[in-house]
Amino acid sequence: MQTHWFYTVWPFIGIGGAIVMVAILLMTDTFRDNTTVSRWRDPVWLAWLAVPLYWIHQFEEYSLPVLGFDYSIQEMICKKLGFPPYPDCPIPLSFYPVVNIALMWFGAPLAAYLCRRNVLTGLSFWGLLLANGLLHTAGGVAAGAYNTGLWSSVFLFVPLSLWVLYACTIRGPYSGKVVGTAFGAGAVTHVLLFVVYGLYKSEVIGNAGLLFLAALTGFAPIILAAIASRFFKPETLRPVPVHQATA
Amino acid sequence: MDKSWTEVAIVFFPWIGGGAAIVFLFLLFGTRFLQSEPGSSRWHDRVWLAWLATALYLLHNVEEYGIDVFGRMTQFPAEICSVLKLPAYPDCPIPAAYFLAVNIPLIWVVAPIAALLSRRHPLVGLTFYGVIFVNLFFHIMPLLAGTGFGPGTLTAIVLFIPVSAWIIHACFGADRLSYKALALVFFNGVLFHIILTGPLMLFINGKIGSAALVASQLANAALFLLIPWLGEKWRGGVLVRPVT
Repeated sequence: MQTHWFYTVWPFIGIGGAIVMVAILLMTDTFRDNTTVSRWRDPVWLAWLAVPLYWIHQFEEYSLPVLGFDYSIQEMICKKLGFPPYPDCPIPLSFYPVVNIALMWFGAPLAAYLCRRNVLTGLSFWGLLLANGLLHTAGGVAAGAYNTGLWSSVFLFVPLSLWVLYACTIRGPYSGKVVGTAFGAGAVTHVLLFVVYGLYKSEVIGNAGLLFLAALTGFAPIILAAIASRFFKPETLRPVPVHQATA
Repeated sequence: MDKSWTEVAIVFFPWIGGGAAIVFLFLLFGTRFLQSEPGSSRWHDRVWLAWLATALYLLHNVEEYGIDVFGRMTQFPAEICSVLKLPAYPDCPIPAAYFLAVNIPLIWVVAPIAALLSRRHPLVGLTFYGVIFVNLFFHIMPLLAGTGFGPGTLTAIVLFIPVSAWIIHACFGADRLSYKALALVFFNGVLFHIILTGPLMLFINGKIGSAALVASQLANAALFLLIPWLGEKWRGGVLVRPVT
């Protein structure tokens, strides 16, 4: 199957960024908001952590066929939607980098940057990680077989999403409503992605509409979180030192 | 025909480096994290400049081994085979492992180590510019000779020329490191390129095998870091004392 060169290289760009980001996150204080508590309890640091984790996940999802393994998430999506395999599948191959790059190269870093002002926005992508991780895990259990993205879901997304919930709200200073709404914004984004697939399958939108909505979906967690933030008092959304709040 | 892992890796390693370069460039220009003194100009900060060299060379790798100005992928190895009058790939005898052994130890390992050491070891921190100075020459000369743009020429012109001129201006001279220190940086870059090409010629002429060729490049990267470190100790550190 002939594809544009960028469709095969973009997950490798992401994994390169992830290597540097993970090293900096774990070995320096650059992305921390509060150095008086563990980085694992700092919501700003946790918001940034979501970014390279998803780059690793994208690498697992999209690099395998390029590396010679017989797994293709594009083929899996076409099959699930009832389309024939490529080259006859109508979903343009540009859709996959557009939605993934919008989400995790632009949306997620922007959300993490905004976390210093608004925890609800900052943690919103963790809802996407949890929803995505549970879907991959459930799919793997149901089929009793590997699916592309399963390992990063099982070992990174699900346990670390649960840790974020634990560290931020169960044993942290933020209300369950704030963190739950943040996770909800990410989870709803995943649902929106399925809605976009449904609209395309039912021919309500064409290729241009699919690509436009794919790019828009990348910012859906932030947009949803911004709307939801209006229902909370601003002081409940700001990062606070854990030791003060739990003292 | 199934490809070996090195033949797959040579297609994708520049993109991994390119992704790393994007993050480095954000940190370099969007934060003070990679500076030794956050309040001072980053363009006079040797630690920041050492990290800049890493990021720029990773971008240069994208043009050499990723995609060049003509849209050709992984063109640099093909260019080397052409220059050496060897058959084109897949018949060119130079293994993909050679190019990986040249680039990955040097740019992914030695360059970040040099940058990390640059706070206390100024010559080690700047040593990667030696590769940039010499590499620039190899990319510009064919252009001046009329053979046109090769893979890597664009980044050599747009990135390496201005930054090389700046490094010489900002880091060497009065109140800065001596020109002898600059000569050592340049010599180190020349020596690296000699060891880069010497074993390759031996390999092409059947004097050594591919394992020795690859091993020579691993040793080359280690030597490249060792020389400026020894240079800093030479005659009680005369090379790293600011010129008065």
